Amino acid sequence: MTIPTEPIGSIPRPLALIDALKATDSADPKLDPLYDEAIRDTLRRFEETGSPVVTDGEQRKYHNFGTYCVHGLPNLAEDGFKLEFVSHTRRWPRLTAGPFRYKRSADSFIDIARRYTKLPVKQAVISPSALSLMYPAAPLPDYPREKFLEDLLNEHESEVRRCLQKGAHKVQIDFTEGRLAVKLDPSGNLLNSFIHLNNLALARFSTVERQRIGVHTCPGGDCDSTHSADVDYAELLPSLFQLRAGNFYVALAGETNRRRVLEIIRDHLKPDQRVFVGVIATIDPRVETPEEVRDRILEAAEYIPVAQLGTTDDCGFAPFSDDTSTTRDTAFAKIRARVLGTRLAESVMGGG
Amino acid sequence: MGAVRKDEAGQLRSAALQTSAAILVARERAERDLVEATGALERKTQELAQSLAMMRATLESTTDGILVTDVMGRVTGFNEKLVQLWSLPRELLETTHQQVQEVIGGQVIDRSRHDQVLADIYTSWPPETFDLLELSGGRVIERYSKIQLIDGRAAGRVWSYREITDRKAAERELREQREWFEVTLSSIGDAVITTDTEARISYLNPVAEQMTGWKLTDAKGRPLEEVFQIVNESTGAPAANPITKVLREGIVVGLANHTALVARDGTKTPIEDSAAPIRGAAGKISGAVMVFHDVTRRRQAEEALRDNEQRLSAIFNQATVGMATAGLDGRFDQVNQRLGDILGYRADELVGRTFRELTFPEDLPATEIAVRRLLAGEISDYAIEKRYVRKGGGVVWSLTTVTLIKAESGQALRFVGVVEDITLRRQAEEALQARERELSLIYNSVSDSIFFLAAEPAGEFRFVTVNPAFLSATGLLESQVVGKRLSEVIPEPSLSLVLGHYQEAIRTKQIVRWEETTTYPSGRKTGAVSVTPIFDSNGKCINLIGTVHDVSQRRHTEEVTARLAAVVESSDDAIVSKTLEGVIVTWNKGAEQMFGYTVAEAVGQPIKMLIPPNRIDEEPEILRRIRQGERVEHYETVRQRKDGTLFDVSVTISPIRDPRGTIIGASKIARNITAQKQTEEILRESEARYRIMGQVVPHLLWVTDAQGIPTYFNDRWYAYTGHHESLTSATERRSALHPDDQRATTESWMHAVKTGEPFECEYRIRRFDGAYRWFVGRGVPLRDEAGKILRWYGSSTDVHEQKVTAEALREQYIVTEQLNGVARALATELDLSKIVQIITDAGTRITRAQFGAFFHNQIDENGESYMLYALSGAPREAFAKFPMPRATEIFGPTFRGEGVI
Repeated sequence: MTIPTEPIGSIPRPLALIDALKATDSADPKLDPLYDEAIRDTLRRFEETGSPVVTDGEQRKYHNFGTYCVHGLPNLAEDGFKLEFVSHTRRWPRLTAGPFRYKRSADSFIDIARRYTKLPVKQAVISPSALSLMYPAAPLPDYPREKFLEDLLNEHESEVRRCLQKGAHKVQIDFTEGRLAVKLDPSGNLLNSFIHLNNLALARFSTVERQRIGVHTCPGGDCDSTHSADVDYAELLPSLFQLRAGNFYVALAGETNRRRVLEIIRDHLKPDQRVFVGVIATIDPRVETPEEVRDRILEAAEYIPVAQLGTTDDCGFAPFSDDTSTTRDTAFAKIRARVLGTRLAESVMGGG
Repeated sequence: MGAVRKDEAGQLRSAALQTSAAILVARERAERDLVEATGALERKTQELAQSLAMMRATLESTTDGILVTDVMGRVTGFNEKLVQLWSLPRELLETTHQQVQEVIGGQVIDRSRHDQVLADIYTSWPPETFDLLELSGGRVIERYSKIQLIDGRAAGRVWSYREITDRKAAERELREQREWFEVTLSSIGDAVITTDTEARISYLNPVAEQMTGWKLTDAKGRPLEEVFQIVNESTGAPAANPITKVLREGIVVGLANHTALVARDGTKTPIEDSAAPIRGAAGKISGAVMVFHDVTRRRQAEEALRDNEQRLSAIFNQATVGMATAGLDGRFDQVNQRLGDILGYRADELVGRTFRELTFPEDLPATEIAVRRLLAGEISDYAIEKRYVRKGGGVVWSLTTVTLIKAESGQALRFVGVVEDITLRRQAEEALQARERELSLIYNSVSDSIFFLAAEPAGEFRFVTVNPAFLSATGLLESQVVGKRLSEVIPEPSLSLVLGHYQEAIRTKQIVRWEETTTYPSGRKTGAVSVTPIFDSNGKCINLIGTVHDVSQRRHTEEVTARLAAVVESSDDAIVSKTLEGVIVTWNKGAEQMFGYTVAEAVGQPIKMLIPPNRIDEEPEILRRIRQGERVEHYETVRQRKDGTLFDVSVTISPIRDPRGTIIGASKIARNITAQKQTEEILRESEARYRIMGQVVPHLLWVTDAQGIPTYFNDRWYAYTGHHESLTSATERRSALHPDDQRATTESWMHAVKTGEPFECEYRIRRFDGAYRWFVGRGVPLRDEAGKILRWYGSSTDVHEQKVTAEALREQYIVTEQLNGVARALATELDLSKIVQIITDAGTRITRAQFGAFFHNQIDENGESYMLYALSGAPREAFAKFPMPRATEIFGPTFRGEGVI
């Protein structure tokens, strides 16, 4: 019996890179050696953890998991949507004029990662719903909201398709705003619209393709802090599993009542969906032991058929490029614990 | 990051909500589109399904085999016809074109070309291809392939296979016919002219060109008469042109005899011809053809033939073999005299008869078969050995060879038969076969082993065949011998010996004989072997034939005989054999010693010389009994030595029989029994003596077996004990012993029996009147040569008187000794009390009292009397309180001085 285990994506950037980014533009070619070294080192250390699936640690995603694709566009203002974390606030860019086009696509990261590893590479992309928040309240002249959404879907589809074509093991859509949507609109309409938007995108892929597409949700994880941990999963998960993706990456380790969350998952998971439960609390600086991880998996297996179960980290270890709250060492130690713990659980359940 | 104003937050939230609304609109539109698209898709799907079904039906109803592949060569479709056409295994069709082609490629003649064409198609991907596949077995398949376009893109290829074997065959036939026709016309020796309906020349073949002197190019279109002028050969008058008649009447017309063709240059050639109409498809005459040829040569040939026939006729009639020709009905039309001789007829008598009526009935079926095959053209001739019935009923064996004479057209005309009389050869062959059968019978039934070996390289030999006797003699199975190497059948050390002899036989090219003994499953066998080498024309030994005569029994007999002879020779008995006439034949050492005659002196002499004159009558009686097959055993008589002395002999005489059981003599074993007689005499005397002694000795005699159980008591024992001879059970015998002696006696006897030591014991035996008397019993064992006890001899000697006398003597001796002691004490001892003690002791011992006391009074200085005593045999304490003796009955006399009791 094999339980698949995958990371979410981000790994803290090396301090040298973080420092250099403070001094110059993220796209400055002078940074290339630093980026390459960071990616090479990330993949090497990933391999050392025994992880069967790796990522490039999102070392080149600037400034973060969501805005990497638009960073540097001229038609953006900084005063966009705000993500209020418990401890701090991050802001989303605001679109100032149409048309909306990506400046870079995540498949470019796969090209670089492939140079340094033979292992399957997973690629995370930002969800259309997250980017939809860039359109301002007042409609832009000559660029109606509907046109923006169409462009957005096209750009997203193109990015995902290119990642799939380049052989990404999985393409993971970061849907961190799911819980946030509930927080913003307790009526649930906003969340539903997000689900619809993402489903409009997913509908453009075949069933086989969707088996390689996943959706990640978490209460946010930045500087050891969350933005929507106070939103009850019960309000999010039933809608989440309406998404027509084959895989779901659900933060669980950091939840206070994991069994309750598992019950909800059990009640709403569809037969053709696999859920990767978070067994590593990324915002907790303490490194879990493999046995702890194993026990979390065994606990999850009480609710979820093993054939539909996978393990992951609750969140990326550094979704924002300037996050130094977790060290690279800690991140890999935690990943190692996840990998070992998953193998332990396999041997318990599958009789070795 | 600075604080966010509250209204700003609200605005941002509103943006999100507006986006949300827009998303919902987009989604509704998408759903609408989806419903429409779904509907359209369903319609399209239905249309497609219909068209697909139609396609499929078309595909299946076509007579072509259809295979559809995609651009990668994967099979995406096929029809049943394809499966049948190529006998494809159905599972292959789930795979790739490559694998399907493996099967197809295996059936085509030019495999490599086929594979190359296919590879080229997949490489260059031409819009259409066409080629022919020739299959082994003559089939031809047309392969056509075309790119399959879907939406204008190459989606794959459709391959159709059509069997065109028949069409190809027809085409080929037509082409061949035409070629054949043209070639024939241009090469045949006949001239051919064709005309149109107007009798104008349309074709001349080369022969016609040559004979008429016209070239086709010149002649074409001209009237026939101009080119083909014929005249009567003898008259020179123009002859009627047959083509005119053909065209007019539409019939085939032959040329009149003796027609000559006048060539362009005026030369005349005698010809023969015929003409026929040419008809079109509808039967309408479209022209005429005339065929003619120069008969000059044929006329010459006919002349030659006539000569030839005459020559052949001579050969026919003078041949040393029988010859005949017969019509297809088998009736002879020509028969030569030799055949007449063979069959016992005159040649002319046979003409008109059929070979069937002359064939020996049993051989007719084989003849008929051969004839049928001959007539069917399966064979050009046949030769069979068959019998004919001669005139008058005899049978003659023949080798008959028959050939069918055919016309040029191939039509059978008549049989020609050659008959050779092989009766003598057949007789010889039959004799040979009979001989072979005999030999085979001998081979299989002789008791000698016969084996046939093949000589192989490296000096090895292999059994080719062995006869049944070989197998039964060795106990081996045929499978263990035939085909096996010599070394696999014959064990060492015989193998080396045998190989040595084989090599000797091959080297010397001679038959080699020897005798050998080998152990086979049937046992140890001794055989006289002979091996004959067989050489091929190069002088190389190819086979060995061996025979083995089993002499195991003879050997055995010889050994037994030798052993017996040794016994006879070493015997002390005289062993002599004699004929029924009483003449001595053999004479052993014992006989020499016993009778004093040497072998040379005895053999050939009458046996009567051994018989004393007064017993001479015994011999005829002995010979009479021997002749009747009786045996004379232990006949005790007297015989005479060479020196004339007589001696006692015991003679045993047995008849000697030959292997058939006939009595041919007698063997006589004589033993000198003089010594035995003497011993017997002594024994008899000794026995008589002992018998008397046994009855007269005063002892009780007895004998027991080794275990001590009595087997004999003498008369005296019975007389003494009063027991009856029949009542001598162990208990009774013991009851004869005194009870006080039973235990000691029994123990002593058992000890003797157990150890073998001589038995000696004194005991009392009750006499018939109840009195016990003392006996001394003695027993000694009798042992055999090995020391084993056979029995005990014993005697019980009456010692009662001695015993009693000895007892009395012993008492007297004791008294004398005591008195002597007292006397010595009195002479030497001064102490009165010691003297008294000695006397008391002596008195006690003499009287054998338990104890003794001596009392006496003594008066001391005061004149008082007191008692003194001495004690013997008891402690003083026993008398310490002893009162003063009174004048009792015992002591009274003493006290009163009357004396001693």
